[in-house]
Amino acid sequence: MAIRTISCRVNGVPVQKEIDSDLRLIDFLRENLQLTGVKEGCGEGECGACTILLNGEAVNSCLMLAVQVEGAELVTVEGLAENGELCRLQQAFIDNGAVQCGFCTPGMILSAKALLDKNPHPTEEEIRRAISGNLCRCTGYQAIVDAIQAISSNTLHVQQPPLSPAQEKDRPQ
Amino acid sequence: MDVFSVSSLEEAVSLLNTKKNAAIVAGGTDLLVKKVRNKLSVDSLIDICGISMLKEISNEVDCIRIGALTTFATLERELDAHPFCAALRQAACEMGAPQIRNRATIGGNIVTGSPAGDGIIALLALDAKIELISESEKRTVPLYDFFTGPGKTVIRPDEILTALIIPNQSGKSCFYKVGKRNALAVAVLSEAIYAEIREGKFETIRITVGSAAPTPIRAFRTEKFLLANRFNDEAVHESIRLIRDEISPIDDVRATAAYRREVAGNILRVLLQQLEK
Ligand SMILES: Cc1cc2nc3c(=O)[nH]c(=O)nc-3n(C[C@H](O)[C@H](O)[C@H](O)COP(=O)(O)OP(=O)(O)OC[C@H]3O[C@@H](n4cnc5c(N)ncnc54)[C@H](O)[C@@H]3O)c2cc1C
Ligand code: FES
Ligand code: FES
Repeated sequence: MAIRTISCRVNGVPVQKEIDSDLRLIDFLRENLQLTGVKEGCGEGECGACTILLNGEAVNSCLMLAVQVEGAELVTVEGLAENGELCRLQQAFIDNGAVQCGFCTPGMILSAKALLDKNPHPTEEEIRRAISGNLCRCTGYQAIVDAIQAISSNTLHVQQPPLSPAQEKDRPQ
Repeated sequence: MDVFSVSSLEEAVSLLNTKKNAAIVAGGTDLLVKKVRNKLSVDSLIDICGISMLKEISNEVDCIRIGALTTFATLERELDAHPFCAALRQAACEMGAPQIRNRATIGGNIVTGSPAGDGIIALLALDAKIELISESEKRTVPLYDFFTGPGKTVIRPDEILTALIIPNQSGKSCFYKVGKRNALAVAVLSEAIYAEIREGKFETIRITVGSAAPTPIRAFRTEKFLLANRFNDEAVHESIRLIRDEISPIDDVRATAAYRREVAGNILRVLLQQLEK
């Protein structure tokens, strides 16, 4: 088995490893770097559970060889929280009930991030298109779309609950 | 398995010449699926993604040259500049999902040679040629002559597909695909048309159909009929009947042949309507 050295940046940290030259990127991330937030659903590009960001673009890590990311900048879900605090997108998933079993969540969040980094105010259609390569067997997608909309700042997302007559009276004019 | 990463065309063709049982890997979206299914029997892979000159779209005097490593995401973004290539842009928009479009290359789509290849169907309507290079030779082949059977093409083991060449044209093109869902679905049937219409008559028309035969095909009989008649409702009606008759689809897991014939006519109607706009 041929061995090659690979160097790249993963979640902001420079990484250099010796690996089998035909190792898949997903296995490199999960087995060599223990980034198990990268999930393997289908292994064939259909489910998006293995989605990561490669130089800012969403890609399926099950369909790449690790040696193909030489010199690249990768982000996995582990790279989103800062100083122990979840990023806004992660928090929005929790707040909107967009996580059930959670298997699709890392990939879903990264597809959403790829969209929002380029287009901070997407329409619902653009959101649905951006996550069209990510399957979720639990949520029915609406809560996920809501979560993504919730942080695209100029859309009104969280529906205000109707005010009671008493609150209505006290409402500032 | 050895994997060689190259950054120049010279390196690539020289490796292809010396490594006897090697395959090229570009975006990997077809090849890696084959590999996990244990259907890839090669000793080494040559990763060509580092050859940056194969990622360019350039305008030449009489044609557009699209590098083989251009991804579908790039085609979707950049083809607005060439309105007559609308069919290819539309095919790029509908292909796969974002993760696939970001990696999948147009060269890989062509060499895979699936009768359902979305890029292929659009490029055939645009009368594209492809450029193949080996260490000893460079040749240009009309895309139409490239396919010999499902997944079979005339590419030689020592050749690399470097570019597609689309002649500049003055007409309009469009593409339509029917699949089981929007994202990630292999086409049940797809069609593309390129046409030049003057004073209610077709001066040029090319109609291509995907998933209708062992290779991507042109609907020559339907084209011939449309060329010979005025572009009106009756001609549209007759052409729909003709295309249903002309194609030879099969029953498979995705659809029956009868359904495909039905859909072929319906798509033709939609595309001819789009041309009128
Ligand atoms: C989930 C999923 C969804 C998909 N959806 C669609 C779809 O909607 N429509 C569609 O048409 N396809 C679809 N595909 C198929 C695939 O993505 C495309 O065919 C893609 O264009 C292949 O390009 P690639 O760069 O990934 O090729 P690779 O996998 O890298 O290579 C494919 C083949 O071409 C050869 N090759 C690649 N580049 C060259 C070159 N320059 N010269 C010589 N040989 C070369 C390789 O050796 C290999 O045999 C899908 C695939 C997946 C996994
Ligand atoms: S595991 Fe990669 S897409 Fe399903
Ligand atoms: S939360 Fe279970 S698959 Fe999406």
